[in-house]
Amino acid sequence: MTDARTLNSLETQGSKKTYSVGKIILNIAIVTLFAGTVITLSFIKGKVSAPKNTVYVFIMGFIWLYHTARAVIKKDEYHPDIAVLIYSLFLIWDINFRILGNGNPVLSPPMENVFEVFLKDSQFIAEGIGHSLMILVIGFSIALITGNILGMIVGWVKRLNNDFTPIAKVLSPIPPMVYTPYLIALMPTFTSASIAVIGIGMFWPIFLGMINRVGSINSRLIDSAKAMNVSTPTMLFKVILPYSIPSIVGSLKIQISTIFMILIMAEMIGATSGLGFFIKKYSDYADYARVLAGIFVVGAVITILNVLLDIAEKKLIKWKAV
Amino acid sequence: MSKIEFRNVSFSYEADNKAVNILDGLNFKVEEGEFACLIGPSGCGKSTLVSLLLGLQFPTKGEILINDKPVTGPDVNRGMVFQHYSLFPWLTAKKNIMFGIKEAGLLKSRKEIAKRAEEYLELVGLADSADKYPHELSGGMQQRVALARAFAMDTDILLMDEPFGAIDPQKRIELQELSIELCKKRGEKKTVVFITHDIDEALVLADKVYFMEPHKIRTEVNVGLPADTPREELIRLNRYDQLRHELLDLFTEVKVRTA
Ligand SMILES: Nc1ncnc2c1ncn2[C@@H]1O[C@H](COP(=O)(O)OP(=O)(O)OP(=O)(O)O)[C@@H](O)[C@H]1O
Ligand SMILES: [Mg+2]
Repeated sequence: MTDARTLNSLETQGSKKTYSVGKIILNIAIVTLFAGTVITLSFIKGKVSAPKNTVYVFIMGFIWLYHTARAVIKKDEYHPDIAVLIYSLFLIWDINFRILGNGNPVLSPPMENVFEVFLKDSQFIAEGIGHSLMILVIGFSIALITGNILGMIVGWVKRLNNDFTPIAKVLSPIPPMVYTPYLIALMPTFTSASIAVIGIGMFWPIFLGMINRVGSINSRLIDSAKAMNVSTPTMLFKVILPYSIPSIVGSLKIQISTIFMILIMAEMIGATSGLGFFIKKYSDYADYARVLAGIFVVGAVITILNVLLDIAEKKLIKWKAV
Repeated sequence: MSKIEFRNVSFSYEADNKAVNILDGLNFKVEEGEFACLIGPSGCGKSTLVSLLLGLQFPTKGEILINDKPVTGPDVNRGMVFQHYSLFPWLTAKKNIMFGIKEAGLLKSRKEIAKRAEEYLELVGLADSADKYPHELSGGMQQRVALARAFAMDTDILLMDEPFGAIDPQKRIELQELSIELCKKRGEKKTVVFITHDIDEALVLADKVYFMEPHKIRTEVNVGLPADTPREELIRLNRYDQLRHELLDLFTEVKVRTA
């Protein structure tokens, strides 16, 4: 008995943290059990046909690999809850809709078929991502640069602030949805129209956010800069802007989701390519396997962008407010 | 002509739609090259006086002249060390100093600016912390960087608001010596307005001590201690003791009157 316990709880050399090897093995066993069940079941023939499960097996395997790696790296901090939840959902879906054939196979297609779309339509999807990202990057860059620079100037110059803040407060709450069809009709191409929708839609919150930031900047820093007799451009670009960068990047993460909402919506209205178009087109054909695949892709793209922003934030911003 | 002159200066803050008088008909003169120490009870308006002098705020009545010209805002001829820490948190210690040197327009090439910043960091004993951000420095260390920045800007007027308040006694003496060296001995003598609560600090540094009570300058005391006397001898002079008692008496008197 005591032997087993000492074996189970090893002390890592040089550190006080103890973790139990037994628990790690247990975590991995749980994840493996669920992954194995899900994968094995996908090979069983059910009432609804799913000709191929290659991508499905690959993705389930990938989730297994990810969680096993986390279990080993994070040791005691790892909990298999999320893996169990994900696998359970796939398990229930697979047994219920595919094997037992409950429900309507058009509305609740087997996940095997949904994931197979990634392979079948890979070129279409890749082009869609490329196109959507291009619009997003251009539109968002325009909104970021103009919104922050104008916000900074309007926030700093009292007279402009008094003039423009009330106007901005009236215009900013208008949902981009309202003027999207008009812009699509107005602009020469759909691409330019979606860039305009994103540019305008994101401009207002960025602009107002920057005005607020300037208003709430620590007055000691402003006095300190003024005491050095800085010029207005120096005050704006060397003091207020660097001071604001962390909070600009922080709000970027929230804005990314909003932008995707605006973009996908615009694409659903009038695009001939892009992820929103992909989803809309197959919704019209009632091809819900493709629709679900499209939704997964949108989720994955947003997640990846957020992770990249997190990494950039950690690498770029090394200072903290005193 | 005096270097700095306050003529009948009044100043009030707006609070709950009522004007609260902070300075009232204040008169005050500092000559070129004078090291002036301003002492007085907490809340009597010392920081306010300096911020008017700097040009961050403006008198409600009267005028402030520097070189016989009214103050219209901050200027490159004035440097400031604030009572609170005033470094830019997004710049390292060295970059903070470089920012000041650049704004003072002393040097053009980045290399020379960086070299001067390093020299002054060395002077305040922080050469090792050049690449640290303010949040990685203690309060006293941050204040020393701010001091180095002000000195490195080499302005003819230097305003210092309790610059050594958060610094330990040993370091404090070193920095007092450094201030004497940089303000009185190297190059042109600087005109300095230095706020402190510490009577000994005022006596060691000042040519003249101005005692402030709420709203105005109450009196000025000519220190007139022999220059170039080592500190240990200075504090043993009868004249030093006499001045010390004079200032202490003023403190007790003003406290009683405002209580
Ligand atoms: N922004 C402000 N608004 C309103 N009142 C203020 C403001 N700043 C300072 N005061 C008031 O003005 C008075 C003088 O303040 P000041 O900071 O000049 O004092 P001080 O002599 O520097 O004090 P200390 O020695 O504590 O630094 C105080 O009574 C303070 O409450
Ligand atoms: Mg003060």
